[in-house]
Amino acid sequence: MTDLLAHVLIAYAVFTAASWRYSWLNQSYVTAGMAGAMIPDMMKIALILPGSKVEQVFGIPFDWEAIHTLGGTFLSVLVGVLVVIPDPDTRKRVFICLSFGGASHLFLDALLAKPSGHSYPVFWPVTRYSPPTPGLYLSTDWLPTLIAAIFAGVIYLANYRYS
Amino acid sequence: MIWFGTLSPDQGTWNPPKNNDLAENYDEYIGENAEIGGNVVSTEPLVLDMIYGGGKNPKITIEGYEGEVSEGRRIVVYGEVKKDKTVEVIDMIVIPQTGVWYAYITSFVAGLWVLGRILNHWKPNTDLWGLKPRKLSWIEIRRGDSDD
Repeated sequence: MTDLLAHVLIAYAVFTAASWRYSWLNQSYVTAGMAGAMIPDMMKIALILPGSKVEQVFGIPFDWEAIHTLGGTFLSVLVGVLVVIPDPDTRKRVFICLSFGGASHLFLDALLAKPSGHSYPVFWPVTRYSPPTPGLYLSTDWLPTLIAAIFAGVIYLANYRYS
Repeated sequence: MIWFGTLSPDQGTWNPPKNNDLAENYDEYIGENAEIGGNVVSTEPLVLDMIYGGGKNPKITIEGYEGEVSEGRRIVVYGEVKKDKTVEVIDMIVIPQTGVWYAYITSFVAGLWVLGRILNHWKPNTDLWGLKPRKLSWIEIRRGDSDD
C-alpha cells in the first residue's frame, strides 16, 4: 500500500479541507476520517496471524485480504460505527467519515505498482475483477509520503489561519 | 473473510495464484501465471524464499531475470509457473533494502498518531456505552482553554 502514514496524512488534509465546507466536520470527525483511512490495512494482522494458520486451526477457509476490499472495509466501517455513542447524528457522521477514509485508502492502493499490471479485487464482492493499475508507486517509496506530508502541512497552516 | 477464503485464483478476473496457492498446491498451477513475493536467498541461480504463513517458506527458482538483484532484497515476481519449483519471469519489482523497514516504521508512526488523536478528540461515555466527540480536545483542556 501507499504506506500507512501517507494514507493518514492525505485523510487529514482532505477531511480538514472538507471541514471548511461542512460545519459539523470538526477535528473529532477529521480523526474519524483518518481512522477510516487505516481500516483496509487491518488485513496486515495477517503478518502476525496468517490466514492459512487460521484455516488450519479452525478448519474453515479464511483470508484477511477480504478486509482490503469494498465489502470488507464496509463491514469494518459498520463495526466502527458501533464504537461511538448511539446518537443518530454522531453515528451518521462517523459512518460518513470512516467510509470516505476507507475508500480513499482503497483508491490510492489501486494505483500501486504490481508486476502483473493489475491491482487487486478492490470492488469485491460486487466483482472479483482486479483493475489495471498505472503503477505509480510502491508502498515502500518515501516520495509519496513526503508529498502527502507537504500537502497536509499546507492544509494545516491554511486551517490555522482560516480559524 | 471466510467467503473470501473460499475464492480460488481466477486468471479471467486478474486474480493470479499467489504465495499461499503455490505453497499449498504448486503442481495445480503449472503453466499458469502467478504473482509471488519474498526475499532473495541466492543470486546465481536466483532463488526466492517465498513467504508462507501456514508453514515453511518454499524456495522458488526465478528464471529469466536479467537485471541486478542482491541477496536479502524483497522482490515481487509475475511469471509462468514451471515444473520443479521454477518460475519464469514476465515482470519483477525489486524493493529497496530500506523499503520494508521504512514501511513498518511509518505505519507504526501513523498508528500512534491516529490513536493519539482518538484519545485527544473522543472520550468514553459510560451511560451510552460508546465514544463521544469532545467539545474541547484533551490538549485544549490541559492548556486551560475555555468553552466559549
